[in-house]
Amino acid sequence: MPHQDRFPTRQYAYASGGRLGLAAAAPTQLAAGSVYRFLLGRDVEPFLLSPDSVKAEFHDPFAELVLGGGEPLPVTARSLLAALDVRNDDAAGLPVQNSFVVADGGQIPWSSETAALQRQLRFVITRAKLPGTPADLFISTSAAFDSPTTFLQVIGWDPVLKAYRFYDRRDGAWIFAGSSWDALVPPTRGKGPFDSHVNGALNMKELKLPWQNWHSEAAGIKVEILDPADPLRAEKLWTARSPAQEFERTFIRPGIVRWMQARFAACIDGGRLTRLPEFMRHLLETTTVNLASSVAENGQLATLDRFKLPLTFFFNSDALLNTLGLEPDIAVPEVDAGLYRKCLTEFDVAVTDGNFRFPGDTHFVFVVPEPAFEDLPVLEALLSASVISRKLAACLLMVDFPNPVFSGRRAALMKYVPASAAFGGQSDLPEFVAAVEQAAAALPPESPEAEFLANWRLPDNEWQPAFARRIEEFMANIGARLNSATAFPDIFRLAESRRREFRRRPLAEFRLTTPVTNIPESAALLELTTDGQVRDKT
Amino acid sequence: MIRFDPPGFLQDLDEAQRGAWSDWVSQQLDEVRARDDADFVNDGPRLQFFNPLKSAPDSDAVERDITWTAFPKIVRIQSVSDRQRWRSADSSRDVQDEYCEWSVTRDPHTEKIVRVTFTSEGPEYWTFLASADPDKVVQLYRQHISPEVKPEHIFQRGTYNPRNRWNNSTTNGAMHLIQRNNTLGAEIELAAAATIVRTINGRTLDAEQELITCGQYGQPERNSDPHIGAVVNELARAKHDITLANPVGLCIAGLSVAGWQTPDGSPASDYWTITRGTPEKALRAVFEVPAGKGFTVGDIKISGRNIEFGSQIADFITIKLTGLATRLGKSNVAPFNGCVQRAGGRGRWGCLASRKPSPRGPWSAEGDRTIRLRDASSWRDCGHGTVELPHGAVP
Repeated sequence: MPHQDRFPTRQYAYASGGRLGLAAAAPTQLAAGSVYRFLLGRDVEPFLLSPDSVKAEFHDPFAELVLGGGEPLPVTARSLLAALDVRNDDAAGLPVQNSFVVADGGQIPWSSETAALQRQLRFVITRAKLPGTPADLFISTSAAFDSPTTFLQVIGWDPVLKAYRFYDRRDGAWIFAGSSWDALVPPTRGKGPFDSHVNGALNMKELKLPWQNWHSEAAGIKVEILDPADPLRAEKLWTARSPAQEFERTFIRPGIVRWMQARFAACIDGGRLTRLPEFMRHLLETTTVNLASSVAENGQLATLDRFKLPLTFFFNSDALLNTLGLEPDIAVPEVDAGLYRKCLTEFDVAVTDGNFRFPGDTHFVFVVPEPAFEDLPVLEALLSASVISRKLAACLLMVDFPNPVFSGRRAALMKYVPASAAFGGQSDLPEFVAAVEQAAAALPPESPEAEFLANWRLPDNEWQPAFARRIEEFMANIGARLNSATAFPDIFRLAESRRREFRRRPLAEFRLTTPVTNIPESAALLELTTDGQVRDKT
Repeated sequence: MIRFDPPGFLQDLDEAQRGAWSDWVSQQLDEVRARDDADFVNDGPRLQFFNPLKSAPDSDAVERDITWTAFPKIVRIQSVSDRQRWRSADSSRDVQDEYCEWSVTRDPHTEKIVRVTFTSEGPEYWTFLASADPDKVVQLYRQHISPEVKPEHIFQRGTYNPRNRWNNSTTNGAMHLIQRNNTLGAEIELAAAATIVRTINGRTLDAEQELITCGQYGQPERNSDPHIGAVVNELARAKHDITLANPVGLCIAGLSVAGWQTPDGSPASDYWTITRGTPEKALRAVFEVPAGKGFTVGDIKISGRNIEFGSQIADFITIKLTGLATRLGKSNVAPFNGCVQRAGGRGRWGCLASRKPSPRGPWSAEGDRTIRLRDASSWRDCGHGTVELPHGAVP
């Protein structure tokens, strides 16, 4: 029997709330085979796009090859791929196809007992012109390739708009749900596809080794997760599935960089970078996250003495070390596996889809949110255009650095960011610094404003070693706590706190993505201090 | 199929030498299939692994590429930053342990990278070739490494030195693999050992780390070994018979240049050249910008960063071996109930540290080919025996 996964969150947010969108509109209002525009938050109802308007305004490959192709519109994944195949030899054709598989229950074998488990098996299919080049078209769907009702979403790169366009098939019609630009500003920000594509970019939550939940070289999604009678076993999209590391390096990272660079270039006007707050929030806020984890398998915990934890749980090493070039003398943190096992028992850790419950951690243990990769190309663009200096960026990121995600202290600095900044200019955002200085005069010395200014006032030849020393001292404190029977449970609680913050976001779609514990979802949220202490968020 | 071809369908050998090479590969497959050391339990024989020269595949045979990333995972997970891991991976061939090694050539004045050479050729083939045709080895070194190579640089008292001055560093040339675990013997042993289906307390093992820990067929922290083992074992659990496809060898599957930027906008893939093997079975590749283009490798950017290390390119290289499955679903080999252990149950052990010596090779005059014991104190102390080939032997 084919699996019966349900994907309520993949029908975008059209069905939520009931005030806007298709939940309020009768589905029959959509004419099958037609194309609509429906930008949740802006449009009160879908409106029909004429073939001529699609042809004139839409230049992504989905619009050019499928919507404007003059043929009946495909309504299933299989018919969509066939429609693309017909155009393979055209100049605009995208003949190179890869399929990638992700399933949050993808490491739980099928059995008669687990047949009804919601493994959330999904496919991402990429289409490109040439092997090894960025894809221009992404298709996301379930394993029901012939279903006209399962979720079927398309993202296409529009080289004229220089942004991705997001589409969704619903009720036999295709809906244009917005472009990357709509992700950035109200009333469409966070709505529809932008609840997970928060800044309009491609999204692969588990982006790095070990690519938790993805079929990869670190952990294959094996045929044993399928019912022995599941026809998917013979589907080429399954049998020829490509590994996640290829998706990461060939499609996702370059695809994210493409949008971020295009967005940056489009906001340069008269020697100034406009819409500066939209860029600076990548440094100061947690607009979205990726998920990191250890490379240790839950099933191996009993045989391990120690294992490594992701460094980005402790501070934003990707930005501070890779991009800004700080070089603290530190090692990747390791935890005593025995202490970790005790925590799994103490906190009653399990993975569950709501019906099935499996004691223990996720397949790769210690899954936690980390700063999003998409923040980095924004930071790099700001630096290379001399909008901000390395020192300014480091001074900002070192505010509350033990909390690389969900830091209210860094976010508090957003209000001082000016609307624009000189492009290729002084790179120190003098208006920003002046505004912080003015505000800090009336604030307590422990304020984030004061913390930033203390960083900022470090001499130019001292800030790098000073920050490196801070990180070294911090990681030394952390190292001691990771191997302390009395202190490590606090670190574990902190990880669960950050998972709880992640689960409050639409990005957290599936129950199997993170483990559950006996810590209530409503418990106080926690934060880390520079001395390695865990405390309630202030 | 009447014999095994040399890796990458190389044409270095004459007919007799090709036959001898095939005999050696065939013998390796026989040995790993039959391996059942008295000192260990649950390690063999590996009856779902077969020698296609002895038992021809059925018409249902299918080949399957098994691919992994060339950049060493052990370096990756031990590093705190990209720059640190790139620097580490470029520092020594001994850390390049994903069946891909490389050497970097820099402009002596600017220090910019001008060429990076990658190889996936196992050392056994080169020791064999050196025994069979020493002049050919010198010629190939001169062709691929430097015209300055002299016989005495690579032969010592008539014996080929795999770690010679032109093949022992990350800066002076990389002719073939030398990292201690990067051997064809390791590949063959791994593929065979991974065909053992294992059950523990009624549960069939299927995860990468539990399989390699239980089967002890490689280094758990590499990209390659756990992944190869898991894919092979998945085929075994499906009750297929399994072997390595002809030609047996490790190949460079490809380079992905998505997101790379060249100064003139030309495709970075233009500068990737396969120099040994076939496009489908590549063994050696060079990344180099031709003279006259006005820029060098060091001017190319990956994700906005100039290429400063050869290992930045290795991030985007995929290595592969090709397995072959046949008699699909028809195997009746019973699973092993338990993990590899020392006979007598002296507890869990960490490495294959005391394999029996293999029988003499087909070209060995002295029969001194042995499975050299691994040094358990090395920084990656679990893995395969390393095949040490004969001195001065001839086919």
